[in-house]
Amino acid sequence: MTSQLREASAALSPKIKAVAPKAIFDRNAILNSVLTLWWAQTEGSKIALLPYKALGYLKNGEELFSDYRSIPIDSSDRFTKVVDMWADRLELKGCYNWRYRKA
Amino acid sequence: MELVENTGSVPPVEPLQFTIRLEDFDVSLLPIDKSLLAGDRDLLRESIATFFSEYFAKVGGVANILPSADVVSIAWSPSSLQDKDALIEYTVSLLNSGAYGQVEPILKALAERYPDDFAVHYNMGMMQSNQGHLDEAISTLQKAVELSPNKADAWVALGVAQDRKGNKAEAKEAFAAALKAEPHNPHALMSMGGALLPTDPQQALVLIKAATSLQPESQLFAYNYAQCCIALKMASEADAALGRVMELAPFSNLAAKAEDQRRHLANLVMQSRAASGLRPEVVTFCMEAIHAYTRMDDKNRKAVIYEVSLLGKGGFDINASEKKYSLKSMPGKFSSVQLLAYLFVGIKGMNPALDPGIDFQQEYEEAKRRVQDQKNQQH
Repeated sequence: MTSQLREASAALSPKIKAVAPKAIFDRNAILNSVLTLWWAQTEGSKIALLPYKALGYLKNGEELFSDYRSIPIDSSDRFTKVVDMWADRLELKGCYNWRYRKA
Repeated sequence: MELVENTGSVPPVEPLQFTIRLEDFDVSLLPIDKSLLAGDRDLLRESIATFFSEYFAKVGGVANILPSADVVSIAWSPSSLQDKDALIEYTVSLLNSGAYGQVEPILKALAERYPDDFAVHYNMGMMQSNQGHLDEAISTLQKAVELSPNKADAWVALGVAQDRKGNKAEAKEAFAAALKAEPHNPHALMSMGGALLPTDPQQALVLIKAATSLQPESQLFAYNYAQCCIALKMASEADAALGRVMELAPFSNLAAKAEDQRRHLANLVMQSRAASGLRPEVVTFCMEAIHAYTRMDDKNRKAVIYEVSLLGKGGFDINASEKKYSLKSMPGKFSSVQLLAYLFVGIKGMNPALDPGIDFQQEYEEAKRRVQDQKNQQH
C-alpha cells in the first residue's frame, strides 16, 4: 500500500503538472487524495495527505470521501451511486454511461 | 516554526533529545514520492516532523517536535517506565522491518540517554552489524553482553560481528560464551558449528545437526546443514538436506541454489562411481534409450524428453535403484538412473553439441558403439 501511495503522489510532481491538461491533473489529484484519505483513516497516519494538502486538493478529496462513506456498505448499487456522485462533483457526468450485464 | 506537542503529563526526568538533518532522514519508507520530497523542502520538513509526531504518539510520554530550516529537533520524555519500554519495543519493531534510516537517530539517542539498557545496545549493535559498521557494532554489542552476560543471543550477535570483521578467534569465543549461557540455543549452536566447519568439521556437524533439529522449519538451517554434509562428503545426507531446503520454500533464492547443488552433487556421485570404469547399468540404459527413440517419431521423442526434464526439476534420487517412476509419454516403470539416461540420449540425439548436465558421455559413446555393432551383425 505504501508503494501505491508513493506512486499516486508522484503524479503531483511539477514536471507532470507542467505537461498535463489542468482539468485532468486536478481531477486525478483529487481522486488520488480520496484513496490517500482512506489509507490515512485506516492507518491513523496523516503523512501521505501532506502533499495533497499543500497543493490544495485535500478539501475536494474530503468531499468525495464523504460521498463514499455516505452510501451504506451493504447497498447493492453502492458502486454506481458513488461513481455518479463523484462524476457530479468532478463535472464528468457526460463522459460515461452505464451498461448493465445480465447476472 | 511550528511546535507540535503530544498530550501527556510533564515529565520529571531529563528528556531524550536528538536532532536530525532533513538530508539524513531516510524518506524511502514514507508514503510520499521521493522526488516530490526532494523538490519541496517545506513538504520534506513537515513530513519528517509529522513522522516523529506520529511515532512518539504511539508510545506515550510527551514529545516536542521542533522543525527548523535544515533540521527537526525532538525532545521526548517518558511519563513512566512503561513509556520507555514501549518506545524501545516500537523502535525494535521498525528495525525488524528494515527501517534503519528512520530509527537510527532514535536508537543512538536512547543509547546515550539509557547507557545501561540492554535491549537498546543489543538492537543497536545488530543494526550496526547489518549496516556494515562493524567496529561500532562490536563496541556496542560488547557493552550489551557486559550488561547481560547470560543473554546468549547477544553473544551470538557479537560473534557474528566479529566474524564479519574477520576476527575468527574472537568470534569463536563469543559463540562459546553463548553456548555456556544457553547450551541449547539454536543460533549459538549453528553459529559455533559454522565457525568450526573449516577446522573441525566433525564437531561442526554435531552442532549444526543439533541446531537443525531444534529448528526443523528453518530453510537457512537446513541449507547450512547441507553445506556441512557436503564438506564431509556425506552425499546422501546432503542430498536429503538440499531436498528439504527446496521443500520449505520452493521459489526462494536458497531453493534455487539448493537445486543447483543437488544436480552438481548427483554428478559428483556418478563420477565417483565411474572412476573405476564404465558403469554397466548406464551403458545398458543408454542402449535401451537409443533403441526406444529409434522407434519413436519426433513428436513422441520430444514429449519424453520434456516429461523427464519436468520430473527431474524436483531432483532424482540417484541412489535409489527401484523403478518407481512412470511417464505419460512412454509405458513402463523406470528408475532414476534410467530416466537420466533417456534424458541424456534424447538431448544428445537432438543436438550433440548440447550439454545435458549429466556425466554419461563415456557410457553413451559405448552404448552407441554397441548398438552399431548389433546393427552390423544383423547385416
